[in-house]
Amino acid sequence: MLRATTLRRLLTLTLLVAGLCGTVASRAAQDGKDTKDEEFFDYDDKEAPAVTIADPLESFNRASFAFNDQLYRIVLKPVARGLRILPEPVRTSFSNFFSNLGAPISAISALLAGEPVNAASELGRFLLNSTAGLLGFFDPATEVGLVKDEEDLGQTMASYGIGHGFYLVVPFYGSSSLRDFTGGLATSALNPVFRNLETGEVIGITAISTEVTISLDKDTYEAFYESAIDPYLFFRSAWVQNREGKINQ
Amino acid sequence: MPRLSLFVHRYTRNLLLTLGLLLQLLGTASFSQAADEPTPLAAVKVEVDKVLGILRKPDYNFDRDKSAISAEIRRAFDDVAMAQSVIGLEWKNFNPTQQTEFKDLLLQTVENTYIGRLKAYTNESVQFRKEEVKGTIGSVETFIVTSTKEIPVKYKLRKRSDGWFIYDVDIENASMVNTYRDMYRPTLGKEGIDGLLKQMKAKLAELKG
Repeated sequence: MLRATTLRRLLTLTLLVAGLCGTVASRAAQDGKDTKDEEFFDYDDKEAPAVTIADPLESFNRASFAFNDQLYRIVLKPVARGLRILPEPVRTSFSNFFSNLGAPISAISALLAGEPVNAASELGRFLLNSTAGLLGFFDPATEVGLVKDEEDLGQTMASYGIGHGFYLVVPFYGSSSLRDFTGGLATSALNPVFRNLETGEVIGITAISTEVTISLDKDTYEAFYESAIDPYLFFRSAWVQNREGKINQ
Repeated sequence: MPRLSLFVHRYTRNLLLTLGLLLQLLGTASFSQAADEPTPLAAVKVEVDKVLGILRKPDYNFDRDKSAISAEIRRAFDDVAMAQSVIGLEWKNFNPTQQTEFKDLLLQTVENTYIGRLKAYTNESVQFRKEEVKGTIGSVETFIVTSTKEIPVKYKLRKRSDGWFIYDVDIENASMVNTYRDMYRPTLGKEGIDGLLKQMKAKLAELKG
């Protein structure tokens, strides 16, 4: 049972981390690229400069990344492969169901981020999919134009100008940052749908939901991993760009 | 007097007709010119349609059709611009052999990473959303629609005298060029271009073996 005290502690933690992170700029300073060489393609996207992230815990993160990789290959992936006995539409329905459970907290996060339209849309999705969508197994909301746009508390904090802090690869959890991991914990702790569930039950739901997601994925992780000269750097870069894109949406 | 007025009348009518005809001609001419003028969206759409055409063949077989897909994609990409974007200004310090070798290895790496994804093609479709052009740089926003989600894919193109060519692709906001640049930078700093080329070659050999 997640008690009020737990919630309060989490909120305090969130605020503390927010303070710690400060407003670490994640945008890399663009050095003045100026070239007179006509042959050279001057790739200088001034509107979207490359994003980078501080990584003071690189040794820990690399160990953690290696652990998660093994966890994925030895445990998660074989289970997900087993799940593929279920026809894809069935797994898609389960994926919809788990995704629907996250809609209320997504709406709250959007509201806190000052995005009332997005919040209303996520709430509308939850109401429609939970009823007409038979407990969320189907997604009629998308068909009526309410397209999923998930928001988490990490994004909310970003909208307050809080930077990533630094990159963090969390065992069992994956790529994150000080800000986003805190936001992620708070997101599942504050989710009204999970309010009456034990922590173990929340972890169970998360695990099953992860397995369903992996079973629907077409070995993307492996393809990127195998062809990269340094997979750790590849995924760090892709992760931070992906988060930046979600925040700027 | 009536003759004159008749003449003026005829003259004006003919003039108007001629003008109208001319305008019409000009209109069609400029219209057809506008339609022929290639745009980034048209360039991407042609390529995507060609690749989808291969993928949707009833007897589609990845291993057999791979080379056809690869040829299509290679034609649509500006591999030099892509390689230069990944390296940045240091490109000019490389000798032509190093430049060519890096360009070729990068293209092979990109192919290995991304084209392999098409093996898993089922019934995904592509939606075209937005096109932006700023001088010689353009971008096209598309979505790959799968059964559970829409994956945003943005193509970035540059204009050459022979049309628009892709130099970068953002998948779910992660730019291919930026990701390779971030990954190669430490090796490039420590071991230089020759060290990087060696590692890229070793990786590709490992994938083939």
